[in-house]
Amino acid sequence: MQTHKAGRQGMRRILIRCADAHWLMSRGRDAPLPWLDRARLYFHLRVCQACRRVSASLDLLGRAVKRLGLG
Amino acid sequence: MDEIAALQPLLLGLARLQLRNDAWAQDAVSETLVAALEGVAGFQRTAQLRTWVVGILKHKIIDQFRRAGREVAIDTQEEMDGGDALEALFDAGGHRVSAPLDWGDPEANLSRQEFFTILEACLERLPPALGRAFLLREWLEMDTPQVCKELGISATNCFVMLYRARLRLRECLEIDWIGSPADAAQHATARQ
Repeated sequence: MQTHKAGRQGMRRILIRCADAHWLMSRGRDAPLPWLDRARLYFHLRVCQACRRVSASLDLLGRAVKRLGLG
Repeated sequence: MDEIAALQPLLLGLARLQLRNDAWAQDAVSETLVAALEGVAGFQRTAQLRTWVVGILKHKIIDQFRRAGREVAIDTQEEMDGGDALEALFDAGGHRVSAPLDWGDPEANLSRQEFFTILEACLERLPPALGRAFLLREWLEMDTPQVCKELGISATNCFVMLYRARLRLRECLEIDWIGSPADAAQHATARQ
């Protein structure tokens, strides 16, 4: 998972890459993110439409799966 | 009784998606049907009945996971990460190679039966280990530490598997649902 570790290099680096943002989006659905990662993701989403779209689609996936079988 | 019997294919499909094992799925569905027959008296409307029976199935599936125990444990790297299907998403600099599409109005997607048909097909296409992890977490709404425990893997591997499952699913849906011109047109008209 080399792509995901880059976001953690340099303790205070706030600006992250799309690959790191994708990882944090998913990670945040499974456990609370540390505050610095939350800030990183927040700042990235503010400026990246591509990642906002991915984030919205992951939300939709989560909602859709909960309706499986309920018609 | 008839109404419960009619739910069999639905229940079996759901159990197979989650358990990825026919014999286990049959067991979970059998137990669900018995429990439903025992408790059916208070239910009249079909929609409620279905919701209730699917709720029973979820519990029976978790029981089945517990019984299967070690057999579910993941032992190969290939099973864990499902190959390299995601490597092509990003370039060396961590940027997306192709821009993700706009999925449009969530409610419009959720109101279309075809969306769910494609979602199920995409879930089936996930490697079994990824499919189990994703559905334990997002369908059965199990806590992440519990998911890791059921699958016999470390927390780190758990997060990685869930990440891979989500991104593969969204790629699959983006190609088969959002990206298909016919469906995109239906999308536009689906907003009522």
